[in-house]
Amino acid sequence: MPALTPSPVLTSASVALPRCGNCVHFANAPAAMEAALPGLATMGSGFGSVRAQDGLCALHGYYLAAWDRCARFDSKQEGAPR
Amino acid sequence: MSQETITAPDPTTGNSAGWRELWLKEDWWAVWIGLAFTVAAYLLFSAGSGSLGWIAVAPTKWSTFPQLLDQLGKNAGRYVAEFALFAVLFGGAAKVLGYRLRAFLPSFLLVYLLSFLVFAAGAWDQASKYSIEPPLLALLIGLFLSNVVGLPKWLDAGFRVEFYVKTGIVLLGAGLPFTLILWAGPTALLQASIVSLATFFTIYLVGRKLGIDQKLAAILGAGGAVCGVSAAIAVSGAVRAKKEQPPIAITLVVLWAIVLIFALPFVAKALHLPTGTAGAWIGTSEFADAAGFAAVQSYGNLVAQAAPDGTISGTPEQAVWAYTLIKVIGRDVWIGIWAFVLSIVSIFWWERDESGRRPEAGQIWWRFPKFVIGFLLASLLVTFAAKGFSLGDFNKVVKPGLVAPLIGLRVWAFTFSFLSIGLTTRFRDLAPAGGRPFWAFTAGVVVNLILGFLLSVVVFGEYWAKLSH
Repeated sequence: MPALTPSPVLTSASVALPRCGNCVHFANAPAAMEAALPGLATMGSGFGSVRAQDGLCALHGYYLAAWDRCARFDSKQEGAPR
Repeated sequence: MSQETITAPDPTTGNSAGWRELWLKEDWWAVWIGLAFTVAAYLLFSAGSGSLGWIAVAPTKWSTFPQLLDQLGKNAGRYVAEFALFAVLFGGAAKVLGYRLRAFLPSFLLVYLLSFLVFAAGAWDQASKYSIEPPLLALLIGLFLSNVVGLPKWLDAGFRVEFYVKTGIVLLGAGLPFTLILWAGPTALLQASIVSLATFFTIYLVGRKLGIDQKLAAILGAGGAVCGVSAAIAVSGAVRAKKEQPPIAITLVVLWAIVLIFALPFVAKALHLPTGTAGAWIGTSEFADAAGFAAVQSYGNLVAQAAPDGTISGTPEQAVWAYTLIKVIGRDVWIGIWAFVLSIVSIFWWERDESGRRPEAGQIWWRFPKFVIGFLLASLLVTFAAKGFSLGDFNKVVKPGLVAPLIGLRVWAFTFSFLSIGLTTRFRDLAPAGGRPFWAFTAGVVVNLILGFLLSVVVFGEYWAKLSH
């Protein structure tokens, strides 16, 4: 079972915007989503395009889009202001 | 669980994974695999150096067990090659998506062997006497193994319902003339839109009347109106659902979809619906693509085997074409727009806050079911290849040399998918849905079935019945 909190791929030039997809509380690994949402793999898929980059917020208990945001953003990027 | 990779969004935008989607999403893998088969079939056909038919092997009619064994013995090499080709293509994709091959390959071998048994049962000359329909049999075998026998969880690696059905849909494009898509597409879109809107608002309004939360009512509505689990999960992300809400919609979609897989073909047969008309009705009424293909393929077989005297008009292919036009062109491709509109409603009406959330129009593309692109390209390629052939020559030359092998491979891919539906449906693992969501969703199912029937049979009945080249 992979960890529920994947690390984003960052380059030295990247500046992570305060979006859920860049937050430490956000996880969206497809297989982990299939494990967390019972039945998703039965007539759907964690790997499908329709899911875009949606994932789970461990802080608020939401299933939401990677471009979503909230006041509790905590960057995954090392050294980023928190 | 053996999947390891992630699809991290672009950190500078927090949105899509950009070009990495081309190898990180199974939709694109379905496109690559489906188009690879189509292009290979076209090249072999145009070079006159044989046909892909050699590798697209399946059991043919048999009456005694020794006959079946004889067939298997004579074609053993072809079956090994066919399995190896599928295993390399699907296994390669699974590896890139993050699965371990040592989990995927044994699982896929099981899927392939079970599919062979399903094909063989369907080719038995007594199959129609016992109402053995391969798609339904595949589903039943899968349900039995997963719910009664029990299979280890690691085997799930090869039970990829959506991946196989998407690949099958791309291959289906090769058998569906592009001119037919252009001609019938607008009608399919009109019919599907009427039913989708009516179903969505029925579920949403009944749900609200029963006291269901706005977001859950919308997720249930999208699941019933657009494309089942895929729509429910897309809208869940768009409206920022509570994490326990998508599984409720998934449970209801899966349960109703399975009921309709078994019910719709037999009801349509009892009503003597022409195959094209039944395909349109199933296209408006089934939720998930794979479930609908199981129902529509079963109906085509039922008509071909049980009513060859012509009491029911149409061919099995007409049922599949009408279903595909309604489901894929009329419903699936609009999921991004549904998600975008509902995200606007969620942000500006349901959950106004100070976080600066904004609706993202980009999700119309990010959520677009990309396998549809492969479906259209395959259709264009084969339509181009068939240009200049008369209908007689098409049936004599193009169909057996180019189209038939791709149909053969498509039926295999769909059978993998039907089996996988059963193999992944573990009733005890599904989330409890609760009474109020159940009744709201069921109200939508009733409206969907009745309105879909009226439009498919009464309003556009003649149109769908005559659907052809």
